[in-house]
Formats: sequence, structure tokens, C-alpha cells
Amino acid sequence: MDIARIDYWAASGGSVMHKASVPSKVLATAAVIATVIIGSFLPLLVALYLMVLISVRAAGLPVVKVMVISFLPGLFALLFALSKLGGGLITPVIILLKAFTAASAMILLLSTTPYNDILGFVGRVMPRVLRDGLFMTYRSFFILLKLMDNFIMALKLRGGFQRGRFLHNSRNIGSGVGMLFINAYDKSQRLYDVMSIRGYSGRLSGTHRYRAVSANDLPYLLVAAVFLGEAAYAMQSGRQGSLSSFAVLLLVYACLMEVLRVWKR
Amino acid sequence: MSHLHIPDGLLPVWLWVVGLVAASVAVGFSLFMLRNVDLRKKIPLLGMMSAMMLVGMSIEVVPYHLNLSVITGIILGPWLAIVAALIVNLLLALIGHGGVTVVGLNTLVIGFEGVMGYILFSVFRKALRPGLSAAASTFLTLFMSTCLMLLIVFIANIDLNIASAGELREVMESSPAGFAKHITYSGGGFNFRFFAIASLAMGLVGWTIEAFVTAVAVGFIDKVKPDIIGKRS
Repeated sequence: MDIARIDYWAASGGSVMHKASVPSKVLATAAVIATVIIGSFLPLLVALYLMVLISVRAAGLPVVKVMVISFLPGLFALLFALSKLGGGLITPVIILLKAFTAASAMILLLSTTPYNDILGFVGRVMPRVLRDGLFMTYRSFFILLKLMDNFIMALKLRGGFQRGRFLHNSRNIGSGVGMLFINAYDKSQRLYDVMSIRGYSGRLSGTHRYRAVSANDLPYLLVAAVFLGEAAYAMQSGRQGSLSSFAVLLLVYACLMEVLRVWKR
Repeated sequence: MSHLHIPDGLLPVWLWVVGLVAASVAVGFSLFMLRNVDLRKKIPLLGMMSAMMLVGMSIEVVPYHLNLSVITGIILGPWLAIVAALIVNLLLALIGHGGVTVVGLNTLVIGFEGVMGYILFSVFRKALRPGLSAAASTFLTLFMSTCLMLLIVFIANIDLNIASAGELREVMESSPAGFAKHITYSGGGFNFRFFAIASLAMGLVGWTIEAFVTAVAVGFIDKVKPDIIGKRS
């Protein structure tokens, strides 16, 4: 899991994808996921995956790193795909493509949009306890991650984490987890006290202003809409788009994003 | 591997829609049960404990990552554990670790771990030491949650042979045997037996690791600050 790295990318980037407005990026991501759900033809899904990777590159993110992050939770998809090997090779490939494309699209969204902005947008339709819980969780995660990193570092320096000594390592990690839970519990009490002093009355404020819709929003949103339309048409008619049309679409999109990437640098 | 994060696009639409509805009902019911609790005070704790689950998922013990859903359930209690499960799954979905559309189903699986972990720990604790109770409740809970996940996958590959609304009415009114006639298990060549054996085999390793780590952690908490695992919301 690379939440810290993704958060850094979101906060430090200045690409055309970073400058696009939150609603347009959320809409485009929803379109990609909808395409993943209804799309069942291999060329369409390959083209969609390539489109997301082109967008990742346009965002100035390391493409290989994003691909690796998207592969990590793919174990379920891999097992699911292997269980479908009886129906030929195409189905397992489609299953893996669907899982990796959806994961990459979500990583792209979070890597180009600060968490507060996303939460401010999607939090409007959530109960307050959930919205505030999400906000507190995200904030707390980085505090606890630092504590955990320090603990593991100390453990390694003192010989508590040795290669091949699985039981020994697990016991030490267990103690560390116990200590972290106690720490987290104490911190939550202290956090509430500090927030109360600062006037917390059960409502955490979030971002409600977004960048205005601009030309930066258009390329990703439009191409995602085209893919969704193509998938819907293919589902209705049972006819899949030609390879050449996908190739032209991707080529045009890649060129446009490359120009924007260099221009907006 | 105690549970698997189901990605987008693999399960039929009706199943993840049912999952979303069921998870909404579960979270709504949890909030209803918490109506007499001052949630203002619980939000920081909820945030910290949900973050602990995420930190646990960042710790790799061999190629397996921890979930800490059972110990979170023990500390938070069953109702807040369900809310924490939804929060964790929403955050995981945002980083592509489990699908957005299947947040409901994943929440039901992890929420189940929190609730069942809490219940089993409460039962075992009457007879066993906290560490042992935690180990037994974690192992059993994770076994059951894996079975729940397998049930979801099994249902996903069932085809209902219902062509019309009239036939649906007929099926609804028929006996179980009549209903069974309308079910075929195709799944487009899906080998459920392979999937189940692989999941359970990997699960066995995961449940053991998680049970051991949870037992040590709960034993540690019991020595240093026992009120944490004694408090109930």
C-alpha cells in the first residue's frame, strides 16, 4: 500500500491532470469504471487500459510505479482469472485487464487530486459521521504510519527483525501492533481534548471550493466518455469497435496529452 | 490471506448493487444502535482505529499483509466496527485496493470480521486468557469471513434462468425444488472448486499469522492498558 506516496504525488504535482477540476476527474473516473463494468471485448479493454496509462504519463506520474501499485491488490483477480482458464485464455486476460484498469483509474484520480478536495466533493452525499470519520482516518494514518516506521526501524536496529526467524519476527510485530493500538487510543483521547478546546462541536470543515472547469478538464473527460459510449454501443449491438479506430483514438489522445504535458510543465 | 479485496468489473451488477444496499442497511442500523452514544467523542477514536487497520495493511509479514479487523472490532465494539469497515474500504477503493462498486460487499466481509471477532472474543474471554481468546476468535472469524467471500463468488456465478416477469412470479411462488430447476451453475467455465481450494489454502496461512499477531497484541494491551479491550461502546 502506498498511500503516503500517492498523497505526495497529489500534493506536489502541477500537470494538466492536477489542474483539472475535481468534478470532471470524478466523472471521467466514473466513466472509466462504468466502461470496465459493461465492456466485455478485449480490444476495447486493452485500449481503455492504454488510455489510462497515457493519462498517468500526462499527469507526470511514474507509469511503471502506478502499474505496480495497481497490480498489488490483483490477487483476487488472478485467482478469479485462473479459475476461468477452462473457458480459454481470452476470459482470464479480460478479467485481469478489468481489475488493473479500474485500479489504475482510481490511483490516477487520487494521485492528481488532494484528498481533502475529493472528500469535500463526494462527502456531500455522505452522513456526517462517515465524512468526518474518513477525514480523521486519513489524517491519523500518516501519524500512525510514522510511528510504525520508527518502531520497525528500532526493531531492526536492535535485532528484533531477522531474516528466517518467522516466529520471533511475528511476536515482535505483534507487540508493536499492541503498542501502536495503545498509542492510537491515547492519541484519539488527546485529539478530542485538543479539538474541544479549539471549538469542535461535532462538525469538521472541508473544502467546498473547486477549480473552475477549464480546458484542462476536457481531454480526459471526453476520451473517457467516448470509451463509455463505445462500450454501451457494443453491449447493445454486440459489435465491437475496430482495432484501427481505437489505435487512431489513442494516438490522437497521446499526442494531445504529450503536447499539454510539455506546454503546461 | 484472510480475505480478498474484490476488484471492479468481475461480479454481476445485481450482486454488487445488493451488496451496496445491504452495506447501507448495516451501516444505517449501526448508526441507529449508536444513537445514544455521543459520536462527537467517538470520531477521533473511529478515525484512529480505522487508520490502524490501514497501517496494519501496510505491514508485510512475509508476502501477507495484516488486516487487524478483529482487534479493531474488539476495541471499537460491533457497531462502530461496521462504520470503520466502510471507511477503510472507501479509502482502499480510492487507491485501487478493491473496487469502488464492490465497496458494499467488501464492507460486509470486513464488517463481519469486526462484529464476529467482537462476539467470539467476548464469549471466549469468559473461559480463556485474553491472548488465547483473541487468537481463537481471530482464526475462527477469518475462516468464516473467507467462507462468506467464497459464498459471494459462488453466487456471482449462478445463472437464474428466468426469461419473463411471469416466470419470475412463478419461481417466487414455487417450492425450493421448483426454484432449483431454474438455477444453473455455468459461470463461463468458472472452476469454483479450484478457486475455493486456493483461497482456503492461502487463507490458512493468513489466518494463522493474523491470529498469532493479534494474540500477542491483545496480550500486550491486556498487560499495559486492559481497559481498552474491556470498554464497550
